[in-house]
Amino acid sequence: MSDNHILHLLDERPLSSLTATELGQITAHNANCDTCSSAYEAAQIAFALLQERSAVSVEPSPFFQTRVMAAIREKNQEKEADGILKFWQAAKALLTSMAAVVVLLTTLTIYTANTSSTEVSESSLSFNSDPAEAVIYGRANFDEVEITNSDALSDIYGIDLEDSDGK
Amino acid sequence: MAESPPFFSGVPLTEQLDQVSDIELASSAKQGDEAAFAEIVRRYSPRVFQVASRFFRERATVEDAAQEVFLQAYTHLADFAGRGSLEGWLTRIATTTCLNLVRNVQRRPEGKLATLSADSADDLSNEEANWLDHQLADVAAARHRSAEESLVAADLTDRVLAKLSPDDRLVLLMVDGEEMPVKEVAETTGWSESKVKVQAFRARRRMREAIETLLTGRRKKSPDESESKK
Ligand SMILES: [Zn+2]
Repeated sequence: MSDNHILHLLDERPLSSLTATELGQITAHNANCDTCSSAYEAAQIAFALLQERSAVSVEPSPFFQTRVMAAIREKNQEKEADGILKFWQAAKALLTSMAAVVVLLTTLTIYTANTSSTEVSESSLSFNSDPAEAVIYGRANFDEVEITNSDALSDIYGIDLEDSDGK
Repeated sequence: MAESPPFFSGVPLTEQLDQVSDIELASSAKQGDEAAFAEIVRRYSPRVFQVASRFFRERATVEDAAQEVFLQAYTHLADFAGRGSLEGWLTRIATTTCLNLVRNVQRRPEGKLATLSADSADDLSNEEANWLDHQLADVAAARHRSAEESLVAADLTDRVLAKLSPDDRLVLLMVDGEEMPVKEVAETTGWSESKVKVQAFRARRRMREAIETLLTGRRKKSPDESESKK
């Protein structure tokens, strides 16, 4: 009957911790059960293998301490270098944005200065080439012709003074 | 005027560093004292190597793992409150670090260990087959084997264990291999005691079944083999 098998005893604890009563129980059962008998054999081999494997251990070499300390120093240097790199990246970003602002401001200043000087020269140019009188009188070469008072009054009021005077 | 000797955390360096307590070493190392940490490495390398040897066999791999353990310890020194022992703290870091390393290796296809196909005993080397035969002939003689035979057994164990999960292997080597108390295994792995018991129960059964299959295959194969050897 499977309930009476001793498999649970094999899997519950390390074999070395089985009590004399439990071992007696196993021996008695195995005399009539092939399944548990081969399971017990395998459990014994498994336990022996694990014990053998645990006894195998690598010893540290005499240079191990030096190796670890060198690795730690390297790690610390990497961390420092990383910190410096991060600082430079931050500084670079700041400098770039500052430079961009300076360029922008300079461009704006130059542009604004150019725009106002152009307006001034343009107005002075227009003053020279198209004086108000030229516009009013429709004469391009105003300087060349002298306008008399009567010419001006007749243009403004639409009265021919000479004719009216003549009348 | 005589020069005063250099001091290490209040203790002259001329005095042996191994006289300094673990707590004092840890506290100095936390403040960036390299000499203090070097002494911790010297003091606990054998312990860390022992833990790493549960997971790896090759010297180079064990050394790499042990170095990683000390780097982790150095990085997390601030977490060591000094309530437990420094050795216990380092053992925990070593176990966790090695377990993670094994898991990472196992995730990579090329990192899989050569495992036995337990369905047949064809994969056994001659030495491994002899070891098993010897073992079957006299289980009680297991403790009196040569160093060479022990290495064969260790190889065979690794190949059987490679079929199990890293957690199964760890719990088996600690509980059955080193016969550590469940409480200590729980403290080292960070698992609950009941998890340790359940994990060990299942791992034991899996290993036993793997060996049983191997033995069955070996017995079926044995007659042919003895003929061919003649
Ligand atoms: Zn049975």
